[in-house]
Amino acid sequence: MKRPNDDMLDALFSEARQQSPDVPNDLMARVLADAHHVQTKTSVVDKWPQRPQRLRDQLYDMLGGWVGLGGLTVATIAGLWIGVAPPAGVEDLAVGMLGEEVSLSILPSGFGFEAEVLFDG
Amino acid sequence: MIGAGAVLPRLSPPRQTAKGLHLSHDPPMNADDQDSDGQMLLAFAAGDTSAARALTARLLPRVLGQATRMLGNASEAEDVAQEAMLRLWKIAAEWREGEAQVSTWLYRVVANLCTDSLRRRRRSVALDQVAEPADPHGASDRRLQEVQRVQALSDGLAQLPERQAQAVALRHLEGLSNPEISQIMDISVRSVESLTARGKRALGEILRGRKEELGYHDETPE
Repeated sequence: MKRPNDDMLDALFSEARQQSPDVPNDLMARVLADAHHVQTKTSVVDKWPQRPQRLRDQLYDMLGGWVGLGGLTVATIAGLWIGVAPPAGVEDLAVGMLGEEVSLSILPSGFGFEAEVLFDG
Repeated sequence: MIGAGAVLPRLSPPRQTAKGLHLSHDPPMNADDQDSDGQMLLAFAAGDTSAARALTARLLPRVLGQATRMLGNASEAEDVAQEAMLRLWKIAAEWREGEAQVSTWLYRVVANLCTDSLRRRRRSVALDQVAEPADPHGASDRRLQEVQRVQALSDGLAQLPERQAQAVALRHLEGLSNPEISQIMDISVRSVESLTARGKRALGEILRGRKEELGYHDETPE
């Protein structure tokens, strides 16, 4: 059902639909300047593309850079040194913590061949 | 420039597959245009400087037209158009071809920016203070009255709830179909029908008192 104001509204809509302004040159320039600005900002990132990381670099990062790698190297050397020339008390400490090493032979003494006999032929 | 209050529309995939949003007064946009808009936007994001010029030449007149028809004010419409295009440039890097149409996205951005602008206008100036009747004498009578009517319509839209104003503008000023509006506003077609019907009725009531002033007599436009 058509309402009393519908004719006026339809005429107003029709008149408004005719509004199709030309784009002013300065607006065009502003829009293109914005585009250039955004594109420039984006392309700064593009100019420094990220290379795929090599395995060595990935490992370096994973270990925490030079700080982590330095600590790891010191710990490794210290461990190696303790293994080769253990300071006094370290062996006793190990025995105390882990227990003493015990060797058991399941064969009675004098049974079978002596190694020297075998090697001597 | 427009303030940061405007709501950035979501980039959700269109719920319907209808292509080609046509305007009754601007050149129709076919599916090929829409596809190439998306491709050009991707080219822009990849650093192609000619893509910006091509997109601006194609889309800016449409964007400015929509803003002008809804706002009835050239200066405000230009600000909205510039802001809408700026948002397009900024979204280019995240654009996913096939998920949304550039034109649909722009209709939504412009509609949101326009309702923001209308909201500010409603807060700052009362309706009866906005469009002073122009002197209906002289050589530009017709043009003055035309401007006055478009401004009155825009001021009327400013009095509507925002969703109603958007739906009415997209339906009656842009000449879009209800399914197209449902895509743009991300609501059902039934909701579009309801919003446009209630909006048009409310707009008629708002403008009823200005009928004589706008030069309409006995239900017949001048």
